[in-house]
Amino acid sequence: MNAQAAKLQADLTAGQIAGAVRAGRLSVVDIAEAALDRIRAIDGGLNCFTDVFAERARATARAVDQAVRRGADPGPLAGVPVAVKNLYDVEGEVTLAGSVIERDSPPAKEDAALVERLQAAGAVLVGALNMDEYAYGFTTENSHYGPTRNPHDPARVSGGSSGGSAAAVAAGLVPITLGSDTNGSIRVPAALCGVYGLKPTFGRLSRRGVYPFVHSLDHTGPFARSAADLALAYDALQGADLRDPACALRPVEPVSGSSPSSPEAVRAGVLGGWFQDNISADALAGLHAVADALDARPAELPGARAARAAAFCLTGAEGGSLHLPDLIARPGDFDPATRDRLIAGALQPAHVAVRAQRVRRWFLDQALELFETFDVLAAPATPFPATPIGRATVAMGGQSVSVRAVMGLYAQPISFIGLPVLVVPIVRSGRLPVGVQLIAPPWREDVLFGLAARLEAEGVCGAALPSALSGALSPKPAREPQSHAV
Amino acid sequence: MSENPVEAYVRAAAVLSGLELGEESLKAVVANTRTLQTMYAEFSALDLPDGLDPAAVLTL
Repeated sequence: MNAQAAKLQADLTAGQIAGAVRAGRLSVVDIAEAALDRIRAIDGGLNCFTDVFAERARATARAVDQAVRRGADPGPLAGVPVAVKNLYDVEGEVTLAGSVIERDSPPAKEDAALVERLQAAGAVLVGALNMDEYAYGFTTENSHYGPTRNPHDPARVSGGSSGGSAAAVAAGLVPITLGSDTNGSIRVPAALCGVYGLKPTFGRLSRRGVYPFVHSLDHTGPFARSAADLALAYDALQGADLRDPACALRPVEPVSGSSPSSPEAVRAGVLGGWFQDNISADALAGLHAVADALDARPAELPGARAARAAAFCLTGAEGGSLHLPDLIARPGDFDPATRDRLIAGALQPAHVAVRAQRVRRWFLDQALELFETFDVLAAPATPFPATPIGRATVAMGGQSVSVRAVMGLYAQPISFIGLPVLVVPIVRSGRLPVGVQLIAPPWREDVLFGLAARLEAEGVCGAALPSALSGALSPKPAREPQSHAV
Repeated sequence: MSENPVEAYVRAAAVLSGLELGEESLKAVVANTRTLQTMYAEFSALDLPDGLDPAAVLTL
């Protein structure tokens, strides 16, 4: 049963799993064991997981099965295995945030708000996922826990900082994961791993129990392999949280089951200027595919270059300030590259951060003015597909530039002003994935889901399991899943 | 005091912040500071309208 369930689950969507569980056709215990088997069989070659919570998963699975047997509603994500970036608190576990320093922290006393919500919806948490140290990076080449490999080409990066979250979904290890996005950390890995990722409006989803990076820029959000699964996850995660001061007091605005948008109902623009400077042919082809399908007109967002620069400086200022006590007390316990960027950020004069905030307000006004003409804007998610692991620089504009820095070129200006973005993976048979950002006005995630459903129905976007992994879906002989933590 | 103004700034700011930088770290922090300096130049020259309230940035 385990081998069969493992194969089934890798192919099934979260919606199909939940439907089968709710109808009593699949045992959640079997599904959970299949997920654990698959992680054991495949993850050694990918390094998505830093911890596997086997006993918790089994206990949750038994509880959901019992709920089904007694006729209770097991929730919209009944039996769906999920995993979270290792900066989410999980009760009884140490929240690593990609660092070794946090290993010395006490275990979390309670689940993060979004972990609570997934579990309340019937999902089964199976583990925690690799990330860049303290979320400061775009490649998940973590010097403490190793790189997370891209399931479409294990010699390449998964993107970051939520690389484990994107790769675990792309490889079919679990159908839904959670990540976080400060400057692109959901959108970049979603694009490079060829899955859907949502960075909602700033304040839409709770950040309670999520290790911070840049308080005024941090977002939380889900990954999935279909637009419908992403919607299921997003609906389960929504809702005000009085214990997170940044979480908006807005009601749940469901998007699941919404119809694909009709072409004439949406005025689409495709961002030029900054958002097409230095773009690769691969990323541009993806953008054109979406623009053509949406009949998008050219659009310009003034100030994107300045906004990206301001986001860069503000990130250093806030992130550096957050970690200053450990930078003073334990500098040798950071990845040196992370440490020295954080120190430089912390040492900036105060007026830089204040100026950046003023630019932010101005740039938001530019975007809101553009949304008087357009309902949605399309932009590339990254300048190019996944780079080889270990490659520090790429050629761009005649210069050698840091991969860590430029992967977020097109993502950073948008998160800087908190707009909702859904990354759709472009269908590119046999080629490395690329993704496109669909960007809406604040609180209009519904527009994004309608368009993603339409693009998926038209075959423009979609996520396929990597062919290289299809033969690895049959689990190896049983052994207890172990933590990959060093 | 170093003759290099960025390095001099980094040394002084590190002292004010209670940071001790080894030579390798100092070099890397100076390089990162130069990057931040370049970034700042990208947005410091913007002619922003008066009255932009930085406290309003999170209000959507």
